Amino acid sequence: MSGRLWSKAIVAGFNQGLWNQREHTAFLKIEGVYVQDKIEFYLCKRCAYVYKAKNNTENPTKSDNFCAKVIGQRIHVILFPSKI
Amino acid sequence: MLGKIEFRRRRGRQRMRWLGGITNAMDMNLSGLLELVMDREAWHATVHEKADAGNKAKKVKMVKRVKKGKPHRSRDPVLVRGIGRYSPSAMYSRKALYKRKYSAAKSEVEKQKKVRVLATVTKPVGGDKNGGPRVVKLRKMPGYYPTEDKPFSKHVRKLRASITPGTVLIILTGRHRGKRVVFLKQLGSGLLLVTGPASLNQVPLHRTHQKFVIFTSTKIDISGVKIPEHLTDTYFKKKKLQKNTRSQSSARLIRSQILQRIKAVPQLQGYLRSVFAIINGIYPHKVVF
Repeated sequence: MSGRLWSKAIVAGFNQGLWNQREHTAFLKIEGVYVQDKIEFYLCKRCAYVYKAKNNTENPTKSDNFCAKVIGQRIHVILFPSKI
Repeated sequence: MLGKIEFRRRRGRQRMRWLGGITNAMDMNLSGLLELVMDREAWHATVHEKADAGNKAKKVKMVKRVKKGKPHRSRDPVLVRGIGRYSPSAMYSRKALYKRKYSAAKSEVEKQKKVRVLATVTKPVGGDKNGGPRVVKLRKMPGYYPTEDKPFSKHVRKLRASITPGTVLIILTGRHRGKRVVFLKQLGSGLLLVTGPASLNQVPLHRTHQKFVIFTSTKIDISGVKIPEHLTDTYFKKKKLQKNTRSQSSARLIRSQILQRIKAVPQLQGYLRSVFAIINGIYPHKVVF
């Protein structure tokens, strides 16, 4: 249980036009992925924003929208649901 | 008397109203009817008498119709689709409906009223403290509404082409995450039967889901391994079955067979002992599993 089973990513921002922002979709910049055709692997994978709460417990936020605080923060891209 | 007002209106005459229809059928005026209604049995008798009369009329009429043969073609030529040449009253004369008076509607309604389907049944229940007789519904609501056409047990179970029995999988969730494990077979519910083997990596014989597992290209040949029949979904769901020592020993049997084959492959033991992790510089989309 010692290793990492998630990919590193950063929240680049929310889905937005010039004036309006849609927080239900966020853009993630995944480490190592800089080409369009590599994206397919990460489709459908779950993401979690993990932060430390009181008493140093780690808290991942998974199913809801990310809050604005998260922009620029590290996100865990978890390897399941797996397609390989 | 209950539904359609049975009355043939002669041309120019007033239409029959609802109340008129009833008094007509019962041959009584309103005050007479009000009196009759008070007496339940008398009312029942008259109503059923009327119904029977209606029924009889229907039966007689039925026999006659059969003898008549084919009905005439429409006597109302069509001007434009949906519009006939003659008005309803003209058609009444042309079809000679003044001669044909059926009281079918009345008898049908009466018949339907007579036959009452029993909705409940009272069943006796024995025992002092059991609460006595119960009223049981004869037609119950279904206990199961499938969300799709087929119930879960009939769903098609898919397995990815890359998986064959003997493939090594990496488990992604649960307390065994990261561990490499041998795939034995797919169970009826679609879950995968998987084992460590436990002596190598503490992973027992258990079930996992396809989606929470990565398949590697490493395969062990387990063609000769006999997987006991009792290892089904119910076995894993019910603790009682697993406590049975006989079933435990057959699980051990699988393990020993698999271990033999693992030891035959160089370095495979060590591989199964090790844990998968993503290290800096390793990107899962680039890794060939």
